[in-house]
Amino acid sequence: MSDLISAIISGIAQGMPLFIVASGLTLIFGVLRILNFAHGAFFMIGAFVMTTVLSGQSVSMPVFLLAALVAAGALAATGALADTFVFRKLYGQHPMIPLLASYALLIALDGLAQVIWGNSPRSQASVEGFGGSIQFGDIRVASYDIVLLVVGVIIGTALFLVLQKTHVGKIVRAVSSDEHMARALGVPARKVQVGVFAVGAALAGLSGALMAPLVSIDVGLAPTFAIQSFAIVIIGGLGSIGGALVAALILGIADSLAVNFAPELAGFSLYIAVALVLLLRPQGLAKKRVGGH
Amino acid sequence: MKHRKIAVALILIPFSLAACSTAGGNTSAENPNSVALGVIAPMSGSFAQVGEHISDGFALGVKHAQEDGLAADTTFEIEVKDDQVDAQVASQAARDFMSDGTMLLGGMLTTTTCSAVAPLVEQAGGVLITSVCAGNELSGVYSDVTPYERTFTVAPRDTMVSDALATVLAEKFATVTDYNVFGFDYAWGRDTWSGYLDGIKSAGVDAKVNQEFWVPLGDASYRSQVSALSNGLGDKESSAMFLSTYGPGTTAFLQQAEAFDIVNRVALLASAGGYEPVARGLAGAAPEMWNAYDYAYPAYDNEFNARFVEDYLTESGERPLAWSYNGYRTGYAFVAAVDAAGSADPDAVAEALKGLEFEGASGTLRFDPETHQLLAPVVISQTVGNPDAPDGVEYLSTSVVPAKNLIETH
Repeated sequence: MSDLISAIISGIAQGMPLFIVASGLTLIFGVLRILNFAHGAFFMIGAFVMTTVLSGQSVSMPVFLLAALVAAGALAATGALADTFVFRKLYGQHPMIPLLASYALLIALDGLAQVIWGNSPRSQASVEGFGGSIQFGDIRVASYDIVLLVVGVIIGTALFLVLQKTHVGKIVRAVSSDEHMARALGVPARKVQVGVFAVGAALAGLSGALMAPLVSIDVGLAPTFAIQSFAIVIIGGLGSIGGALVAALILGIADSLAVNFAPELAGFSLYIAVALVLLLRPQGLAKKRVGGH
Repeated sequence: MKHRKIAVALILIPFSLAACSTAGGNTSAENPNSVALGVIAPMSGSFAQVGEHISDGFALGVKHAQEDGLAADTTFEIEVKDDQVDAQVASQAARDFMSDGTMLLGGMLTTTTCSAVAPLVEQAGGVLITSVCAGNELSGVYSDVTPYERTFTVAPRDTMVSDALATVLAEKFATVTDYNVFGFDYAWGRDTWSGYLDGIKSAGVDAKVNQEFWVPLGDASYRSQVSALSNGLGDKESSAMFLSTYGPGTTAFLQQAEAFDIVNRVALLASAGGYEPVARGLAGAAPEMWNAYDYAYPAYDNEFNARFVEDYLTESGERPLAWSYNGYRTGYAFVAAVDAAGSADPDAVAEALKGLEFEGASGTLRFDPETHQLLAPVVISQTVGNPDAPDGVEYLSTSVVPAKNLIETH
């Protein structure tokens, strides 16, 4: 029984960081209808900014979180620029066009990262006091995983509250639902688009910054979590924040259960889950998207 | 009739000019003493670091060979093309080189790219020296006959590396019998581990697999595996952790294992392949690791190696890695072969490479004339992170296992 509980907790710890990574992707798609291939590049740049700001050193949690916010801010600016110069004229076009544009942006950002940070891999030391694990009976949980769990819950809650309970969220949902009508009613749709892209990119950068102590930071990081992110968005339902959270946790737990009890399936749990969802419920788990559809 | 003659002439003239420009193989029409050398390597993407080291090493190898008096009157022009670690892109790069008359090609990282290019070079009459590709099928080292007449391999084969590691660790860690394995689930990952396991068993260690976890190539999130590993570790004195990963995978595993203190709960942490870049990237925090690979800069205490290390540091800004040295040996070998052949003609260079001897950090190196494998040793390193050491990596010990031993005992 303790093995099962340990596997579930481990799965939640595996899944929550994936939600953080996928949250920006699903937000951008939910509002702007763009499946952003450059999301992985934003994640990578967030990790690079983090290790640059902290010089890879171990720091206290407040300093670490501040640095993560700096990374998020840098990516927010990058996202705003990307929207202004790459995607602005592509909204409303055939979905393949902004998709291709996002792929081009990915390649460009990869090259830029190589020029700025070079080819040698870097690392980010763990946060002071959070490099170990905590024992709960027979179960051991990494301390930093608890931090990621808390941050993931905060992000999910914040996104839900902002989108569903605030005036800003109402405007965002209006633009997502019907951009032309929203404009006709005086909603600054263009500002909303820039803002949403910036927030989506910021979330990607924040996730890269938070994951920095757990991965190798190099130009190959961009595609590393991309497949899982897209899988979460598909399973959760394109554009659904809640769906993405549930999907991330399901995938994390499924992977952990496979690793512990069915190792031969461990490498396939993600793809099995995607295949099942596409077969049985192609619209994804969630009923509602950001825009309310 | 007149128009037809003009049309035929217009068609024939470009072909004639093309034939003139490629006749004589590898030399430039403007300078008959100029030889073109083509390097194909990953210059972008995840493996750009490898490509950078291969190409920098190659250029330095050419320079040092000429300083040592080989082909001193020849100007070597080096051009580098990116293969993006993709067989199709590598093949196109090779075709582009050879259609431009550059018939002497070197470089490449993966067996896939080397295996794609080798037959093209064979057909076109060029010469290929692979720098880092380590698949057994590329050389005749275990079959006594090379699969490609015009391809030569510099790096030791995968099995030579894992055999070397097994040879040394079986002696030093004879009582460590319970192996925990974490690796990338693909040919190299699996073969490296199985080769090592067979090697230590053959050396008399009663080794068994306690746990093994295999993840898809390129995955970076191992929390489930690390947690399960931690729960399943046995007694420290008899336990080992073997990593059949590389680069980012090794870094990610070590970072994620830190929370469960896995590396301090085993008596031996071992890996095969390029580990030093990982250790450098961990900035002084790398755990103590036993590793086998083609080269380590402190392994050889002689003038040749000292010159290589110093000049590489000066020109590239960092100490050489195994990839740098493999690129270096490739460039050096080409110059030595042109010198021995007295010509850059690909047929003459290919003939000269068979049995060619030239100097290296470990002493005199030689291409086996039958297998086309460069007979060079494998280096076993024991390293630990130390912020005060060069590049943050302290070498606790190095040892060298000669190629002859590895081939004969396989």
